[in-house]
Amino acid sequence: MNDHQAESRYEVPPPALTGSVWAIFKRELGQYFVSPIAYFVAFVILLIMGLAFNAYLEIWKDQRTTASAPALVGFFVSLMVFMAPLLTMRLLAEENREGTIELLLTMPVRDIDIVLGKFLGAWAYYTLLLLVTVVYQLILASVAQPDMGAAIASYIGAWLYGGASLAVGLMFSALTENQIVAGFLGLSALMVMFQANTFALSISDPNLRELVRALSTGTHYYRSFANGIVRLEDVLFFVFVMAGALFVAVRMVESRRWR
Amino acid sequence: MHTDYKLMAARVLSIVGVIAAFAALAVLLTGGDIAVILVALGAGVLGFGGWFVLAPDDMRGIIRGRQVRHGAFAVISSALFIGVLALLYVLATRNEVSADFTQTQRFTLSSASKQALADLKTPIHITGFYAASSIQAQENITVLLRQYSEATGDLITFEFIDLNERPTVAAAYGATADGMLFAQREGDPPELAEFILSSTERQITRAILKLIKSGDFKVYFVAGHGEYDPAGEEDNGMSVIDEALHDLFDIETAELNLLEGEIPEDASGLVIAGAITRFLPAEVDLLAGYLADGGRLMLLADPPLPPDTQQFLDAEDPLVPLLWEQYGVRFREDVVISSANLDSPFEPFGDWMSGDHPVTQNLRQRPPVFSLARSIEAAESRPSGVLVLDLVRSRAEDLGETDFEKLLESPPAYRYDADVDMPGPLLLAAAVQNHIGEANETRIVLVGDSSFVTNEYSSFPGNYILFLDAIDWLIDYSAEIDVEVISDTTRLPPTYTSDQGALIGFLTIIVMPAAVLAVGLVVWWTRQQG
Repeated sequence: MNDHQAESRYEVPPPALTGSVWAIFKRELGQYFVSPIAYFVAFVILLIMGLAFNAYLEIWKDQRTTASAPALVGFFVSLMVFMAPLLTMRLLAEENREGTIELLLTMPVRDIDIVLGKFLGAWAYYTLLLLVTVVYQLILASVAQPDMGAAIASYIGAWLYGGASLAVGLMFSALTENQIVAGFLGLSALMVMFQANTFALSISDPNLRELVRALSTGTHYYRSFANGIVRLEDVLFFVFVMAGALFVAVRMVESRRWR
Repeated sequence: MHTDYKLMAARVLSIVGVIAAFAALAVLLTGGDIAVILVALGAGVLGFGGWFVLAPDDMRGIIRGRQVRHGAFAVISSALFIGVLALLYVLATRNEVSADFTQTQRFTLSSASKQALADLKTPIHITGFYAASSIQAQENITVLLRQYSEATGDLITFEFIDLNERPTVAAAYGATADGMLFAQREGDPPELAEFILSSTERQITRAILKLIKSGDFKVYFVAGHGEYDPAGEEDNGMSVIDEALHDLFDIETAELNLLEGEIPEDASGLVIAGAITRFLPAEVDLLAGYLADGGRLMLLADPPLPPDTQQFLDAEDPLVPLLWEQYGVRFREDVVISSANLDSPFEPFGDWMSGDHPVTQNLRQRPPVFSLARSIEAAESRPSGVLVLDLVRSRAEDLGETDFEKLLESPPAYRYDADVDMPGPLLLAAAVQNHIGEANETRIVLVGDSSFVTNEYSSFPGNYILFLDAIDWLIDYSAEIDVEVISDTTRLPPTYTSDQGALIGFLTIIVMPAAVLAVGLVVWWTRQQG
């Protein structure tokens, strides 16, 4: 494809955003339900969550401490560091490797539609997994009196946190053709972002410490949502991380046209 | 120089230029030293300059190349987009906007606190000591403290200090552990700061109210009848509880001689502890008037033993008819003999303490111990409006010995005589209330022993608590500085049987994951068949 061809593509009137995004979203979400990997991921998550839930119950009962609904959601959130790269590593890397991205790029869809559709598909699948964990809250409510208001706040946070993690994972998937490399880069980035609040504690300079903490996803989840508070600042952080990562992902996809 | 080497050197210099430019930007953004920025910029200029001098065509070609053009656009547009997002984030988060989803509104200042602090005029400063590792806890309390500032128009301010970085400041406040909070009047030295018992709204408001109301409470110890010395540090002094009133409650204390003819207007309450001689009629008249106007009195009286010296509240004391006729209570002429300890028969202890009354509700498992006590009698028929509540009773097996001659024998001889002695359980402490109008009431706490407040006996936890809680209730201290507490049932642990636990485990560890795995296998198998 020469320069002229590449640039003339931009002159084609793009289809309605919602139409193409919706089509890609449906395709991606459908992929999860026919992919054994997605079921395997769900199986592993539910098994770990089940074990953790029972361990939490035992501890709360034995030590006669508060049955904390947000604690379970917080545990689910910590699993996202591993889960998000698994869910996103194939999204664009596979298309890159198999060359199907070229096919997609020849279709009358915009780059942003491709990225958004794939992202929303992954987020929807994540949302379903998150909703399954409500079962634990219902069981907990039958044996204790957990703070359901705090639980709702923690679910809002977990949903936003998941969206941000998936967007970061998708960004790395757009960067390479190799799924393993995409997964590894996503895992590393999410791990650093999640644990930055802990690393920051060892920084002596207070301004730098605050800056590192402010960039940590862990900070923005645990300081508010996990306690039952929904703060605009933390909501915006996750929304902006999503927007930033998706913007870069779009630029990456776009680069296929001129590389 | 060979062309290839020139090109290689030019490329190396270009990389140096890029790295130096980024380094300069990074140092600039992190507020680094200007000299470092200039050095980095200089290195950048040298790098790019060298590239241009050694291989101008290479530089021109790359800069004008299609990939560079598009790549630069991608990088710059991404950087700009992220920059705009960061700017929007900073602008949008200048003010705290949050919603408290917790059932008990744990992070929202209650209307009770807002109301209690509505008339705040004195600036209050709250200092929290948090180590860097406790940043999470610090941020949680910040949410609440910001609301205190907003609710009081910034009259309440706060700051956090890392106790590891500023140990001398922490020591000045007496902060010995992470997470300790102190409230003080603006300008007061750290030594006068009020320690906030826990980082809950109730305790923060309580500490602030305590500072505001400091000096509002004053308790007078009646003197002139052989009473204990409030400042006395010997065994029969009361310095321990006197200091507790000062240090724990900021309650002022003073001695009062009723013969001076008036009870000061600033008296929150009176204490008569350890009197030996009778009160004069003029003193009793003064007390009667004070009580009739809603006065508060703690009356601690020992048995008339030996009868010739211990005359307080004997048959001729004019205080006795006042108590009996106006308030339906009196001290019996007896000595409570403890059945629990044969070695110390004159040291009865509280066997039953009212769990409902503020004076005794904190005494569970910590019974007060008395030394030579007498019992209290409540009249069956009392003046209208007068309420007498039992606070502390002795064991059922104890007795009220009325034959003092036998007790003075050596060794003391005592035996229950159904005709004259009182059977247990005996009332050892009682509370009297008499409503005067809607907002005022007379309150009296009677205890059939005075020595329990002396330095010798106040070290017993039950004695210490009984006295302080009695003062608290009498002068309405907690009611003045406390705010309503919402009971938080969400802090309870789970309760379930072992069968229920097994069922929960089966459902969540086996059934749920297995169901998902089974569906996945079916999908996989179907696709294989298809």
